[in-house]
Amino acid sequence: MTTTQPSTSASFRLGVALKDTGWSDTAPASTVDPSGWLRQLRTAEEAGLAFATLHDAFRFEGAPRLDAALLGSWLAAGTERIGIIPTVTTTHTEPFHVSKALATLDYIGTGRAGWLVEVSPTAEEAQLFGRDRTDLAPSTLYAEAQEAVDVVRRLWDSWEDDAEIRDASTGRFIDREKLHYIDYESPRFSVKGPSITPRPPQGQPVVAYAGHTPEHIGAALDGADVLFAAPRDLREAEAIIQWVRRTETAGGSPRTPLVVYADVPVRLGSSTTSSTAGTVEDWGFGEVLTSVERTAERLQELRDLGFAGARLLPAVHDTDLAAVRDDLVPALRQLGLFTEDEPATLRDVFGLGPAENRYAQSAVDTASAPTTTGVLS
Amino acid sequence: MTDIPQVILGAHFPGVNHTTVWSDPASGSHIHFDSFARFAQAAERGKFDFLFLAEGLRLREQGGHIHDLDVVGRPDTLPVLAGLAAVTQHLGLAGTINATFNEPTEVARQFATLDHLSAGRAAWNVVTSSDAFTGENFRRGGYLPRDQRYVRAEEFLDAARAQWDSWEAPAGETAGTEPAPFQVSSTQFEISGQVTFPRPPQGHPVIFQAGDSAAGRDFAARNADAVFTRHGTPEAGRAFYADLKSRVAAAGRTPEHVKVLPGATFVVADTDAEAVELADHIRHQQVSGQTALRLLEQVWNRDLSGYDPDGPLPEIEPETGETTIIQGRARHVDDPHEAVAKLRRLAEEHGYSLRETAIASQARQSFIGSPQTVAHQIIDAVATGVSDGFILVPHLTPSGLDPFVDRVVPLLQERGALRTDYPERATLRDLLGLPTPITLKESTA
Repeated sequence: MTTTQPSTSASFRLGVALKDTGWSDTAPASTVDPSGWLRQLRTAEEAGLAFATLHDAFRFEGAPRLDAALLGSWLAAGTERIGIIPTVTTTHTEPFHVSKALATLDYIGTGRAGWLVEVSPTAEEAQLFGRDRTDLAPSTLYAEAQEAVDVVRRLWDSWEDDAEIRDASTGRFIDREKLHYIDYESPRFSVKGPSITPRPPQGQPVVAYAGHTPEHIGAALDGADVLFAAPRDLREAEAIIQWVRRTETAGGSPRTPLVVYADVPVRLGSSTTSSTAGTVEDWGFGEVLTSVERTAERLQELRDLGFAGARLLPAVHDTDLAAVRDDLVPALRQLGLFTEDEPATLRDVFGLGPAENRYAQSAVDTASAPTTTGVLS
Repeated sequence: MTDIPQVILGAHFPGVNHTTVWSDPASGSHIHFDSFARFAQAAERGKFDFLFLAEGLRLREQGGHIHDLDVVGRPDTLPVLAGLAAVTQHLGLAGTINATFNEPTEVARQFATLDHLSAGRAAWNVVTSSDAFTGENFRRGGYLPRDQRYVRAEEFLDAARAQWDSWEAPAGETAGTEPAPFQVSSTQFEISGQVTFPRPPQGHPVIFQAGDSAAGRDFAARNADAVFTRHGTPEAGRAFYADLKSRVAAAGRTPEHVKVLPGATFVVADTDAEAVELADHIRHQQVSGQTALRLLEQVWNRDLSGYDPDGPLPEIEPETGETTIIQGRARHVDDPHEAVAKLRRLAEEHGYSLRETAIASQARQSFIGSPQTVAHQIIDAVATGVSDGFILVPHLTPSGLDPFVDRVVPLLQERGALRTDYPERATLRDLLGLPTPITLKESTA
């Protein structure tokens, strides 16, 4: 498990953040051509990367874009090992739909699904849904996201893993004692449950936030497994890790410590043009690393600070992923900076262990307790 | 019968109801993606036009309990279809998505995505619900007065079309690849902005409609490319077919551009006699004693759990008040007293037990016979105006389509009623013989 102490034996994993055709692509190929996406995912898989996040938003941000949860489902059917973590927003969506979409992604990828939780902060997006929604303050949106995550997690647990019994002697397909109403009621959401989709292979797919504002860190500590922080330099990286661990301790949280990854922007492929060569690039995430040596050094430093891994932000997906596979990963292997095992699930990638089902637990508890809620009689 | 008609074939993944047999040793998972992939690949092997998925947004209940006798649970429609787009090449991918518990901006984007991922193979079966029971799973409660269901569905579809059509085509081209804004103003929706996706390869995904009411038929006549109906007698089928096509013409559209596709079940064996025997065996698998009690509770509208399935029918009278016994699905009993009297006559005439009566009262499988018989019946139905084809509903997951694909499809192909191969790069619209929709901008230019 991740600790704040530097450790040479701890695993350190690499994933990739995919956004359109790259984070700084000046000559984008088609972003809606599915074969391009599959090629990139397979290159990432060949490189041994543990996961790919897929960026998404409802508003038009300049490049044509498909729905990330469906793109992820399509990619999951065409890949074997890599974790797939689509962005799914919570501001204008229904937790019931989000829950079954991600559970289904987990079925298609047999335990490789994650959820990058995002909000829709603009009036433009509210207008796409025709809602008189004026309160778009980050504190409101992330509080809502926290609730949405809670509802989705409850729905994932609403079927116990062994609810399907196919008992020919009694004619029963399911044991309905093992299905649970979630009865979630709040000013924001009202969801009865149970889910229509049985509990996914991981039980709980991996939940992540990307960002390190107080809202991101608060929401991630409340209900997520993973935080992708984007420190601009090492000093900020250290401050973020310390802040997370301090907040965790102060909260006296019994939860597993938050797994913290650092975003690392790279331009390692042959896309380095004469105009960018030799200049320092920055897309808002700190210096863009343009050499294998410099990148390896940065990853080593991040590991020593206590980061569990890094999420690479490639300038151009196609060329940079090929360079990660052909140059960066072999160099990291030599340095002992690349964890070689093959985790069975995305939860294993992040060292999360099996997800307990809250309702199965409560069913045991209620065997001796007179009152229960949410459990079918 | 002079010309052999082209038969349209859809493959309905086995449903969440007692038609789907789970107790058979051949029954596999109805949740795992492998089952869907295997089923879809069988349909593609059989040169079917499309695969069809139903939707459920709340687990069914009977007598206040989650119904536990049938297959329960399903994965999410659109992610499954997106996954299937990666493991098939030609098959259309049709998904049922509710217009009541969704928003047009999300659904338009999801179907555009599916259409792009599948290179033009997406279809949307637009359904509506006025069901407060299902609404309990959604943040706004989200149910509608019954008479507003089709208003919302139509305005929802218009809002989706405005988004699919919103991007501009560069000069001299037809594909909308340049971002442009859209605006929708109707009784249900006041939305505007710019979508993230170029126009889908088919322009609009193929639109299915599945309601049988007059309002549903008129909605289909104005909006649908295909109608998923119930299969009854050939006479009832021809009457529906003629009625719908005349409504299409009255709506100013070409009747051939709206396909009538009843759902149909089948039992194929070496001979007609063996098929009849097998059909009876399947009906007993479908209706266990416990399922028989639950089916009759829907007629009696009261708890019958104390009755013996192997004993006689209940002597008590049906409850005629409000339907309370079942939730989450439609109840098809108009006059309970008459329905009960009919069941009693059936039992008396044949000396049937409660279970035997329930089995006998269920609709028989649509096509029962040798491969030759089934192929002939299907071609005959399409040639005589019963339908334009069928959406076949096997009773087993995932292998249920195989007997049809392996034994009936070659005969349909031999007689020229079904393609022997898919055309290169055909969209689902191409397979079904449907036109590519013009954009709203073109139509108002």
